[in-house]
Amino acid sequence: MQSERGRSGIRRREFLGYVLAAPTLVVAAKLGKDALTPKAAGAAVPSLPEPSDLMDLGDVLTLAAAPTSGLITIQVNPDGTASFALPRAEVGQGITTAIAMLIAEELDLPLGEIDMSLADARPELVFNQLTGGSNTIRSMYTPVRTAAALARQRLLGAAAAQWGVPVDSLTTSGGVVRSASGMTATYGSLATAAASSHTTLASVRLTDAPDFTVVGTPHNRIDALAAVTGRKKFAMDLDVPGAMPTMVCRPPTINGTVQSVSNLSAVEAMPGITDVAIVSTGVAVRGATFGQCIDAVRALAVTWGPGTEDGKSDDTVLHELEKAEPPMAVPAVPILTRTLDAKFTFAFASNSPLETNCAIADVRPGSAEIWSCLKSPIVAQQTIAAKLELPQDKVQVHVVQGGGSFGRHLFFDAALEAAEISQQMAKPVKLMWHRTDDFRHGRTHPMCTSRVRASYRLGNVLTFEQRHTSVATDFGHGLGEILTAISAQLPVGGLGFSEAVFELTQNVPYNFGVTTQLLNEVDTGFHTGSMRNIYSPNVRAAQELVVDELARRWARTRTTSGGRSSRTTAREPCSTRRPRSATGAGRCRPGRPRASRSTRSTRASRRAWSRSTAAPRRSAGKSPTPIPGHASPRRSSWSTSACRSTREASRRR
Amino acid sequence: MPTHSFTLNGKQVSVDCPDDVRLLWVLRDLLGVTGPKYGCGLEVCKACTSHINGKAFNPCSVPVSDIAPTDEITTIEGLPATVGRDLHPMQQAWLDHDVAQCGYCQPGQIMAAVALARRARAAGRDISDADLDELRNICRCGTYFRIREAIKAGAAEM
Repeated sequence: MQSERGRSGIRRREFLGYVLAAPTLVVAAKLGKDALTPKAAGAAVPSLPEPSDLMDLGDVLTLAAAPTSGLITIQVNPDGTASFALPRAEVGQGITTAIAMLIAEELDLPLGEIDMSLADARPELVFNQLTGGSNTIRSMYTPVRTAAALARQRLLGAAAAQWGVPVDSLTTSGGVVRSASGMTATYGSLATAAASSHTTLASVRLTDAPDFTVVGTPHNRIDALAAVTGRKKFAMDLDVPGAMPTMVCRPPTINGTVQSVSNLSAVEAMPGITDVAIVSTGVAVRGATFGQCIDAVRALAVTWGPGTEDGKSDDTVLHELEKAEPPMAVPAVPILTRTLDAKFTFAFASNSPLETNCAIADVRPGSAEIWSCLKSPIVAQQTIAAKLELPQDKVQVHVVQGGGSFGRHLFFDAALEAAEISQQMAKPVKLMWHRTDDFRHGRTHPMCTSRVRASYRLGNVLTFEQRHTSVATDFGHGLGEILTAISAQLPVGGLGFSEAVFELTQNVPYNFGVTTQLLNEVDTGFHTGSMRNIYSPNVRAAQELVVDELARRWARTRTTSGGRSSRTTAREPCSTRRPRSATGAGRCRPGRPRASRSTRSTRASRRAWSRSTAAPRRSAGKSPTPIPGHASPRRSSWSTSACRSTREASRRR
Repeated sequence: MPTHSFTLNGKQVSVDCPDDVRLLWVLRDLLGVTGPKYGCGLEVCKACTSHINGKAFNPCSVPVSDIAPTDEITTIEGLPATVGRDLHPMQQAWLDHDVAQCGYCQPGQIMAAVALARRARAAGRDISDADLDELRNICRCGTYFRIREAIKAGAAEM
């Protein structure tokens, strides 16, 4: 084993993979069941585990991706490079670089020799082509390394056969196989010999983390040069023949409809304009330049029909939310304990990246081709095919790198719209949303309230209840394919799906006795989406502000110094902080990347802490200082058992 | 239709286009120069920042008819040629500091940075934090810290 790579002390773990039938070397991973079985959680602290302590959203996404991981392949080319079409969307998070590093590590090939692209929509991947939940590395780490290691093993085997020497006597470095006697062969020269005429299962050993030479070392992004020279191509930079600039004149209300257009032919005759068409989202114009499209959109005289949210305002939506708030279980006026009631209101927050929504569509009779930044390209393909009344395999969907996402590209609004417009105009279109379209009709982090009731006695929290009531978060993308997408859209399934996501992502990281967190949703008529950690920014901010208030009441100090797991609560009242370090303390399961989650909640609570030190603690009726970059709690109220319930406090204002 | 001509990245170009079309669309949609990006169309996000006669400007807000035949327009694509190298020192600094994330705003950031460095140089002083605070190019990924470090490093090599 030590000679596996010619390095001393190298350790490798064994995994299964496939060598696929192909003219050049193509390999894939097979996931063993030990990689999938979550280990049992040990619970020895007062709060019972919440669902997300045992299995979180990332676990679900990883498990969902596992059965099809064998369909993700790495190809070694005769020119010595390796190719990998990543079934995820690169939107600035750096996954093309990180995955290339994983391949470089196990294949022992320089990073520059790895050709990364983004895979077209591949429906056979089912749940394994969704970019979300910060899950790409978590779900692809083992499959990609397994495939790369298997490729290297096959190349070694091919060289050993050619030279008539034992495989153990060979080493690799920089894309070259070397024998003990000094013979060398490039990967490229071995790629065909290493290929297989039939698909076979093989086992391979992976490098142990302490022996990594690429992973864990600093590397620039593989697209950095393209980015700084302007050569990096985003969707609107692509030159698709005939795809001319296209924009949509949109209604003044959300989901408003077109009743009539009084000057359609006059607008069609404007300079540069080639087509004007009424579509389901408004009136589309196509022209020589986007500037002329903007002029045409502004010139259109449209009579609009009603939308889904006409006449609504922040106040009416808040009223809707308050009516739907689930009740607390613990009475507000207990006898032996005191209670703290808090309520926070978070406003709608826009979810636009710098690159506005955009897509290119070329719909022909009997087929269609789409280019867009898509984090759920399979659902996009399935939905577009249904809309165009085409068989799914006749809709080719190309995933393009995005200029940011922040959850936005989970939805394919522009791609669906571009397909509809292209079909109607019978011409290719390059559809771009105006910045104002993104603000008015783009997706938002939904408005919500978070109510917390904590009961406490003698410096101990005995119960902690959180009731989160939100305008519905649209999970219409499901888990990346049509079945879960449809179930997420069903009137009943919608809340069920949201509840599942809520349960899988939210928890209270303290020993606060009996802890419950509930979600209720109202109003599905808004365009919403999972912006930046879905529920966490609001749920956790509310929790931490309550913890601040408890600390204030008990005259305890929270400090921001200390170790990784206790940074926010070095001097917590009693031992409330549940240990959550990356070392596997407390309920953390060994062997899973817990550190990132711990870090996230630490960051969230730090923000809350800095806010609450900057803002008045008792801020009923006042506007608290907003948390930078987050939906701001618009109003908060505190009350104790000696005073009144939150509802009464609200009325009092 | 009027014909407009100007120097674009060192070459004289002519384009037939109505007077009121903004230069960004002339560059992107008619001339195929896609380095300058659209983000707002009203000179706020600065994603399209390019140079006119060596100074930063936003082509999204300038009608093509305002460009004179003698004007020299430089986009990110033409920046390296202004120093006769494959990469301008500011681009190299961007690589050295691993600035970009999604990269969408970065051409505009770099063009704004080069213009700022030239202004400071002309005034005979180093780039100050106050200078950097004046830059208004939006980066939604939040790479501002690395941008500021790279600008100081790049300006020192110019």
